[in-house]
Amino acid sequence: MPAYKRGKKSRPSSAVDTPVHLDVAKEAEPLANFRESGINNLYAVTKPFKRTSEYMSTGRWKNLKQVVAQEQTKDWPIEYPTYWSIDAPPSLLPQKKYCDITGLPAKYTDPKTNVRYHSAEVYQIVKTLPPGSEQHYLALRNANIVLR
Amino acid sequence: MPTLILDNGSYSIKGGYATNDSPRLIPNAITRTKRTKRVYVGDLIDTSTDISGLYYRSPFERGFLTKWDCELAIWDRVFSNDVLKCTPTSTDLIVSEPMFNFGQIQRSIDEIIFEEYKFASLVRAPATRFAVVGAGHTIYGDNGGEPECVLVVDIGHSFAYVVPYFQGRQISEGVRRVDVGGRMLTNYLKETVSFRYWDMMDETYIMNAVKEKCCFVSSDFYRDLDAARGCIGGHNGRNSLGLEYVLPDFTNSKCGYIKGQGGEAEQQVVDAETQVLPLCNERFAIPEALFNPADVGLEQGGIHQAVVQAVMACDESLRGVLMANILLVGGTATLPGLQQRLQSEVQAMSPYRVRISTPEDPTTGAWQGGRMLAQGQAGPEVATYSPATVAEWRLTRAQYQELGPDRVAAHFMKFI
Repeated sequence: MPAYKRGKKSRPSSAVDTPVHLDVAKEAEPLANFRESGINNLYAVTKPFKRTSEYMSTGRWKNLKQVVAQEQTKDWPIEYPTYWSIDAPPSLLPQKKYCDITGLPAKYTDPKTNVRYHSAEVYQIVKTLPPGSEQHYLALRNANIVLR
Repeated sequence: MPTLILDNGSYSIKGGYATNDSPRLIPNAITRTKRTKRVYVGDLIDTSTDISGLYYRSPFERGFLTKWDCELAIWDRVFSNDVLKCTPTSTDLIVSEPMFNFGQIQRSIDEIIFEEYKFASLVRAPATRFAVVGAGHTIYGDNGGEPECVLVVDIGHSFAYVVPYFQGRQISEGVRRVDVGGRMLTNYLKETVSFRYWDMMDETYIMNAVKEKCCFVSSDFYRDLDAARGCIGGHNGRNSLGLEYVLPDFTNSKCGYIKGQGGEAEQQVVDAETQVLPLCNERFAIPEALFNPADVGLEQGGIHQAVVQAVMACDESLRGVLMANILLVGGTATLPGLQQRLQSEVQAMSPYRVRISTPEDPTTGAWQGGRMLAQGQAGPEVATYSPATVAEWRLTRAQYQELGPDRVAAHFMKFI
């Protein structure tokens, strides 16, 4: 079992190389008999089972959202390539159109409802749709009309 | 002093010494099993047979290294005696980072490497920069060091990047990113399969194996889609596109296998009941998202369009050379047929002759470049324009302590 879970240590981030209470722990003599010793300072006892790694507390690392927000506040020159500006632009090819009912390639669009459909057969179904329900089909491709 | 090269990808860490021929691949994640609730760090997951419904914890967020508690645990494992047997204080480190890494994250990397692990020295650069170092070997087939002009197409786990390089420096105006990578393809396959056949939404590990074994890039998408029509359940005499993937039972097989190619595991389950996943047009319709991100609702052009745009953003005199020196690397570039498809798509849009080269193993392309850098096969001796020998590039721990984080970042900026 790997040492995955690190205990949270509240250590000052400035004193990374010389964590205070760990030094105390190193200097203290290992106590032979816990019961007889009458310990009143647990920090002063060596804990051989505990990982004495020198890692900092993890609390100070920012997540991506915070990092991105922080970098965005900097004044980047216009036209200077950054993380936000290197996204590949949209395709030059026309958007592919699929039937809203069947998912087959859509040759036609119903001008009344804007529903795309594959063939006359499917159009029979489009015609029978109760008013308003075509919006649910349009919502699937974010083409529905949202009233605010 | 040994040099350790660590290509810290968001799916796997490619780690190995300059004296090794190839790196070790270690999953860059902490995994927890669903049933037994055991936690496995990095490569320890290979020792487990209970890989159903794994819960992944990755140190990467959208391709950027942010969860350091997780990464430290994995690096501990990687440097330990069980894996790389590394003594940081007497090791030179070469580490990779994503393109346009944020200053904050770069600072954290430097800090961790020098202050936590106390490595003797460090070279930090984007993975594509290292791929360029090894590009001469791939493109020209000799040990001719870095080519002067390369366009790197790095299709990784999180993103696909297109980066033009001239004389060892990236041309920043030409960098393009398509938000499609291996992880997206795996998730897309997972969703498609769950919708059509079995619910595989929790089985990322298995679906990743299915993707690696079964998926390919079609050379003519609509022709293949037509050929695959009516091929339900993998049974179709007319074509060879359909196949059946035998899902693992976790006793005889761990990741499952393609029916008829299972080898030993298959012979043991002749009469046992197996769950079979039929695959047909999923095999090539999933990787098609690389060329048509609009299929999955991304408003971006495909990687071929990104390549053309990247080249067109560069100086006119470089365009022809860039098109002739395209280097394809990254884990997702191992998809069969990707190179040929990219070649034909880009050629159709380009007035220049297009030549795409890919290393034998695209996954370790960047690592091999880092290795050549460490061995001194790149640099002034070989290519006079190259900005750096590894000695100049390297930053020692003493220098780090002298300069401080900001000037260290500036130092590495000089070389990319």
